Amino acid sequence: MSKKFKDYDPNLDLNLDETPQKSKKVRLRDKTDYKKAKANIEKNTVLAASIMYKIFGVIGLAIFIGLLLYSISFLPRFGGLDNPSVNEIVNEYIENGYKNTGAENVVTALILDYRGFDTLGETFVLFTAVLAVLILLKEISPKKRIDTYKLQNDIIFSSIAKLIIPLIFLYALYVLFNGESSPGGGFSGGTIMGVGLMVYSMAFGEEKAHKLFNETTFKVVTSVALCCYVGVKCYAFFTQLKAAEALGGYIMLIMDLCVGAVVASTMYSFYSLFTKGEI
Amino acid sequence: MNTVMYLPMITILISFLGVIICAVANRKVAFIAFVIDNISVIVLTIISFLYCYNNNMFYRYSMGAYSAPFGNEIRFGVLETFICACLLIVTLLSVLGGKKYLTRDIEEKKIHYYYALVCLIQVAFVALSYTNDIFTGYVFLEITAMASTALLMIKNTGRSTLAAVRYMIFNLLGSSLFLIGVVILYDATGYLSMEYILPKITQMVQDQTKMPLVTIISILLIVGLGIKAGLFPFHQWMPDTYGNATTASQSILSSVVSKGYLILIIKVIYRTIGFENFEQTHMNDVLFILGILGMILGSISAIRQEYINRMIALSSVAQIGYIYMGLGLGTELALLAVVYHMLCHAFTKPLLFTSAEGLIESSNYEKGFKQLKGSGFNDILSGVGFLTGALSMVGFPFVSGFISKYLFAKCAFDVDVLRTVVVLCALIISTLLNAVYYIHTVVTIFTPVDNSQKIVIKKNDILYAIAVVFLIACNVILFFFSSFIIEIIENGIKMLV
Amino acid sequence: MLRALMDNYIEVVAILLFAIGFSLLLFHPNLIKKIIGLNIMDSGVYLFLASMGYIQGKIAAIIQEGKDVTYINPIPAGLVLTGIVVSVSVTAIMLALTVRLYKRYHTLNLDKIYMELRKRED
Repeated sequence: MSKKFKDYDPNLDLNLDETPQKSKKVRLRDKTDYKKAKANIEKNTVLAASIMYKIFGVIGLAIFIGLLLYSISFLPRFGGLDNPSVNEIVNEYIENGYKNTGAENVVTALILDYRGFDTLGETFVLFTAVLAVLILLKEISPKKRIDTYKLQNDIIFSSIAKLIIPLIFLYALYVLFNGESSPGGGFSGGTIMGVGLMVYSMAFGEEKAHKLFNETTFKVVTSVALCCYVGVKCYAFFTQLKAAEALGGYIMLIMDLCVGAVVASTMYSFYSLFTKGEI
Repeated sequence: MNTVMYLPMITILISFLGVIICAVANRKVAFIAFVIDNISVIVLTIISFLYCYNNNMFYRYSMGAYSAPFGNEIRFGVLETFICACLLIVTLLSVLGGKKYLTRDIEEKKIHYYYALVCLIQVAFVALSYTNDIFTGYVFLEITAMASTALLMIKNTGRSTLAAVRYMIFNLLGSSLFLIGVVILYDATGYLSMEYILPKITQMVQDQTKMPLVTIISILLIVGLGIKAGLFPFHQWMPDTYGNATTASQSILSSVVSKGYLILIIKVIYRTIGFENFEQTHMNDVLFILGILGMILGSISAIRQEYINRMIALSSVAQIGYIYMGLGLGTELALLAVVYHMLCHAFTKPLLFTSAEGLIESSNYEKGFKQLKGSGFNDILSGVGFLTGALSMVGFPFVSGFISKYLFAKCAFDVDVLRTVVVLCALIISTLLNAVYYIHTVVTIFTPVDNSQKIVIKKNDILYAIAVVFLIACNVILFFFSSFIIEIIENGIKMLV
Repeated sequence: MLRALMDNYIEVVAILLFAIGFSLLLFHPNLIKKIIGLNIMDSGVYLFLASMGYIQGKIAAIIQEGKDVTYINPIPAGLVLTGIVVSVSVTAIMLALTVRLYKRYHTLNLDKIYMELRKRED
C-alpha cells in the first residue's frame, strides 16, 4: 500500500530538481542527435517516396500491359491467310521483286531499293552512335594501360587466331557479296568483318591493330563509304531508275559494300574506344 | 519534271554530306562547312516554298523508282516548307549565338563533332517535316534522339552526363511506345504510308467492334511522342536537361527538336488517324486537359525556381501546353493558332536562352537571381534581348507572342460553351502566371545596383551580337507581318490532309 | 478474348518480354540493369513485329525459281533490321555514358548519384 502511495507522490511527479539537469543533458544530446534525426527523416521520406514510386509503377505497368494484351485480342490471327497486311504491296514485292531489282532475297531488295531511304537514315543512326561514343570516350592523351594478362601472350590463342582470322574475313566477304541471293547483306557481313578485326586486335596486340586500323583509317573509310553511299542514292533518287537498271545493275552491290564498310569500322571502333580510349 | 521538285530531296542529301564533312574536318573547316550547308539548305527551301505558294499546290516526290504504297515518298506543300525554312534560320542563329560558349564548355578537339551533330538534327528535322511514311518518321526520330543526347553530353560535367542519361531513357521509352503503336497500326491496316492508312482507320471506326484498337493505337502514338515532346506528366526531364547544357544546345533542343516532334504529332493526328476518328476516341479531350494542366502547373513550377536557366526551361513546358490545348480543340482556327505559336516559341526561346547566358557571363558566371541583379546594365544587348523575349512570352503587343495568344483566344469561341470558358480561364491564369516570373526577372535584371566595384560594360562577340539582333528582328517581324504569315499558314493547313 | 490470345501466343509472349524489360528499367537503380532492361524491351518489340510476317504454309522470302512454293510477308523482316541497328546504337551510347559516370562518381547506382548531387547543391 505504501508503494502504491509512493507512486502517487505529487512531489515525485514534478521532479523540479531533476528536470533542469535532465533537460540540459537532453539538449546536449539534441545537438548531435538533431543532425542524425534530420538525416533519418530524410532517409525515411526518400524510402517512403521510393516505396510509393514502386507501388505506382507496378500499378501503372499492370494497367499498361493489360491494355496491350486487350488490344492483341483484336489483332488478326497469327499466320492467317487473309490478314490485312497481306495485300497488293506484298504481292508486288514477291512477284516483281526479282525483275525490278535483280535480287532473289526479297528482304534485301526491300531495304536497299524499295525502302532505300529508310536504310540511308539507319546508316546515319550508326554513324551518330559512333560520333557520340567518340565524344564520350575518346581521351586526348590516352594513358598506357598496364595489363597483367594480355591475350597476345597466350600461345594457344595466337596460333589458332593465325588460322581463323583469314577464314573470318573470307566468310564476311562471302556474306556481303551473297546478300542478294541468300540471307546476308551489308549489315551482317559488316558485323562479321568487325568481329574479325576485334579478334586480330586481341590476338596480336594493340600496337599491331593500331597500325592496321587507326583513327585516320577510320575517318577515311567511313567518310568515303558514306559519301559514296549518299552519292549513289542521290543518283538513284534523281534518275528514279529501278535497281536492275541503274549503274548496270550493280547498284545494290555497291550499296552493300558501302554499308558493310561502315558497319565494320563502327563495330571495331566501339570495341577499341571501350578498351583503349582511342581508335 | 520541274527542277523545283527535286529541291527537297537535294536539301536532305546536302545535309547528309554536311554531317560527313563536319565529322572529319577540324574546327574551323567544320564551322565554315556547317554555315555553308545551312545557308544553302535555307535558300533551297525558300525557293521551294515560293514555288508551292505561287501555285498553291502540294507536291509528292518518290524517293526511288516506286510510288507511294510500294516505296518511300515525301510530300511538301506550303506549310512544311515554310516551317522548315523558319526553323533552319533558328538553328543557324542559335549556333552563332552560342559559338563563343562552345569554346568554354567543350574540349578543343571535339568542337567539330558539335557541328556534325547540329547538321544531323537539321537533316532529321527536314526529313520529319517532309515525310509521308510513318516508319521513315520513326527512323529519323531515333536520329534526333541520339543526336540531341549527344548535344547534351558533349559538355563534360557530371550534371550534364546525368541529365543526358535521364533524357536518353525517357526518349527511348517514348520511341518504344511509338514503335509498338506503328506495329499495331501496320498489323491492323497493312500500310505504312500515311495517306493509305487513313481510309482503313475510318473503316475500323465505323465498324464499332474495332473501336478499342483505334483508341489504343492513338494512345500509344500520342503518348510515345508526348514523352519526347514535353506533354504534361512526362516533362520531368526538362529542367535538368536545359539547365545543364551549353547555350547553343539549349536553344536548339527547346526550339528545333521539340518542334520536329510536334510536326510529327500533327501529321499523325491529321493525316494518319484523321481528326474525326481521333475525336471518336476522345483522345482529343485528354490532350486538351493535359495541355491545360501543363500550362498552369508548368508556370507554377517556374515561379519557384532559383536559377534562370531552369525557369526558362519550365516556361517551355507551359508554352508547349498551349500547343497541346490547341491540338485538343482541333478546329481549323485552333490549328492555325498552334502553328503560329510554334513559330513564335521557336524564335523566342533561343533569344531567351542566349541572352540569359550573356547576362550570366556578365555577372561572373552566377546563375541565381540575386547575383543577376543589375546585370542588364553591364550588357545592354543581352538585357534588351531578354526583355523582348520575356514580353513575347507574356504576350505584350509589338512582339510576336501577342498574335499567338490573340489567335488562341479567338479560336476559343468556335467550340461549345464549356470549352470556351475553360480555355479563356486557362489563358488568363497562365498569362498572369507568366507575367509573375518574367516581369520579376526583367525587373531584377534592370534594377540599378550600387557597386563599389567598377561596372564593366561587357564587349560582345560579333557573332553573338548578330544572332541576338536578328532574333529580336524576327520577333518584331512576326508581329508586324502577321496577316501575311497567317494567310500562308491558312493555305498550308488546307493542304495538310 | 482468351481464344484470340491463345491464337496469338507469340504476341502475348512479346508483350510479356516488354513488361519484364520495362520493369527492369523502372525499378532497379543499377545502370547496367537498366541497360539490360532496355535491351529486353527492344527484343520484345522486335518479336512482336517479326511475328506479323508469317503466313501459314509459306516459306521464307528468298525466291527460288521453278519451285511451286509461295512466300511469306517480307516487310516486317526489313523493319526489324532497322530496329536492331537502332537498338545496338542506343546500347553503345548508354554504355559509354555509364563508363563516364562511373569514372566520375565510382558508383553504378543512379539513386546514390542523385543524392550526391543534391548534397552538393545544398
